[in-house]
Amino acid sequence: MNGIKTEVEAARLRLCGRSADLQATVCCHSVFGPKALRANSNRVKTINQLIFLATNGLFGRFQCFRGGSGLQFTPNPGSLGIIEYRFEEKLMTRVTDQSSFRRRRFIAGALGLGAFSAFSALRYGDSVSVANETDQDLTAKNDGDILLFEDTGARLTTKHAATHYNNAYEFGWDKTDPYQKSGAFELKPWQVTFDGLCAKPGTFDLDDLMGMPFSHLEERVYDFRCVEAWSMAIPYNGRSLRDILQVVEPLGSARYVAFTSVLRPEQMPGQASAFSTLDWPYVEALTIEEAMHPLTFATFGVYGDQTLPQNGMPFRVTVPWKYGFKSPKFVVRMTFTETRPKATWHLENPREYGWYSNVYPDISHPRWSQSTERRIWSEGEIERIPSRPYNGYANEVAHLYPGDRQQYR
Amino acid sequence: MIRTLVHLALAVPPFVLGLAWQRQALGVDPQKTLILESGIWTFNLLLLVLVLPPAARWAGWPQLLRYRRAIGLWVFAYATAHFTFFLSFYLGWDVARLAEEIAERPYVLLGFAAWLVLMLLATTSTRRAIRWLGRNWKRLHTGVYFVLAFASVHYLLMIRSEWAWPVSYAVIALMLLLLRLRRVMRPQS
Repeated sequence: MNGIKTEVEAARLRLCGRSADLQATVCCHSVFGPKALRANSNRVKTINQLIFLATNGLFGRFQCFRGGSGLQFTPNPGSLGIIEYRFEEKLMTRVTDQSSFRRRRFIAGALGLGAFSAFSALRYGDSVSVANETDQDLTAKNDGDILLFEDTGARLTTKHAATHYNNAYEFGWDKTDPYQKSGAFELKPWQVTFDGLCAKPGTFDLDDLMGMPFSHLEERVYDFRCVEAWSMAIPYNGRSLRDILQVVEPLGSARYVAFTSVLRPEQMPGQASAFSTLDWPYVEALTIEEAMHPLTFATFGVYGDQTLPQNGMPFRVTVPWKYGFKSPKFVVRMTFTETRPKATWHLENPREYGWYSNVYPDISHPRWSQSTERRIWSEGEIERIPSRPYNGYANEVAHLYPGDRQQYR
Repeated sequence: MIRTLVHLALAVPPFVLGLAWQRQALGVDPQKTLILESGIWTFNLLLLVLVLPPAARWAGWPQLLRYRRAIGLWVFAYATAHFTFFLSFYLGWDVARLAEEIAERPYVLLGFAAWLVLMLLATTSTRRAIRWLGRNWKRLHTGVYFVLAFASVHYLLMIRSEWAWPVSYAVIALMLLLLRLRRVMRPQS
């Protein structure tokens, strides 16, 4: 390394010493390759002063000669890198031609712009402080360790966590999209249509479906288990779905119920997205036995709150023993059918999202191991816990699935 | 001077993320945010490293190539952070589960393979290793294009329904690969 530096230094001195009409050709293999270099040297025909600087970086060989005879030095192969050459300022315009100068500016601009846009994507802190302001009243009552059952130590996920970390692809793919982009969503009026194989099809207002004041509805704490292997403990307000379904009297031939979610691309940016492959509106479905199971919950609120579109309000169906995507949000239609209805995620990728999608810790998902889950208790407080068959509701629902479990994945 | 600035700039993302982590500003699931961000930034810097040679050639601006090794080492640092987060948050440092994940899930396999190659490149980037490997050094370090290919597919496999970002990265990666291939194929005169 040092030897080379000296040689370059010598070259510099000799070139400087003869400043008039000096011809120089620079050959430098492995930095630009001979071809690019030749193009450069063609450009550099007449030079008053040429300064060589050797800097480390790449290795290779280089030669420098004046005319055909003068300076020539060949460093040891594999020892050094770039030759950088500079020109005196008055020659700059002549030597670095206009187009290559513009190109440099373009590159510099592109790099700067890229760095700027990438760095500005790293905005952490500000969005959260805004959220804290608006949600102060919401978080206050559920923050901290609220023990549900003193004996088991079971507790609730904080409302802040459960309302700021959601999957609702209607609003976007990111976990924060549902609360950030649901501002324009209109919760009222809301009607649900019942059709297909039932004796009394019709359309009902939300109040009719509740059948009682909101405050009189049952509150149930369910473990919510996402297919992405995270989970929460959430209090839902509602009533058993079967109480509602019985009113419209499903026929004996009805074997399935399909739930259709609302289609409002103007209020739901995810539905309007050109980059989503999902087929809108969202459709999920259950067998009639599953839909009639007392655990299947017609849900009108979470944490006693009816105004949370990110959680699927004003009306969703909650099925606690299945992965979360089987619990459809913003439901506007229930259709009784004899044949198995399509289901959005199952349609998207049947290998990854089974039609039943019961929680089976021993059946591995192509994307996420399902044997454990990350229980989210509050913002930043996450505990890894083992997953349970049917998400812990095996005693209540296992009888619905006789035979090989693989067919109910 | 410029070198210091380059290092400072490349330290901005970990600094911002670390600060936000410490201030609990990474959202409800900081683990997921950290894994995602460290992965994205690994990819960003990987693209930067590989975009420099064609850019320098195009604009006749060899100075751009000076900091490639520095950026390359940062790529390895980011990738290591990404892998460490995955290991600790998703696997709880369970080595048996890591083997299982690598065997069962192609995206884990690709990510792990990319990290191994990066580690090899990082350890052979000392001056002594460069001298020792001679010509083979360059051949070995062309392996960064394998890292690029692995990373692209790794990210593409993340797609659930929204494909804009993974596909954008893959398209840029493909363009860089083709540029490189064109250069390799063309006989040097």
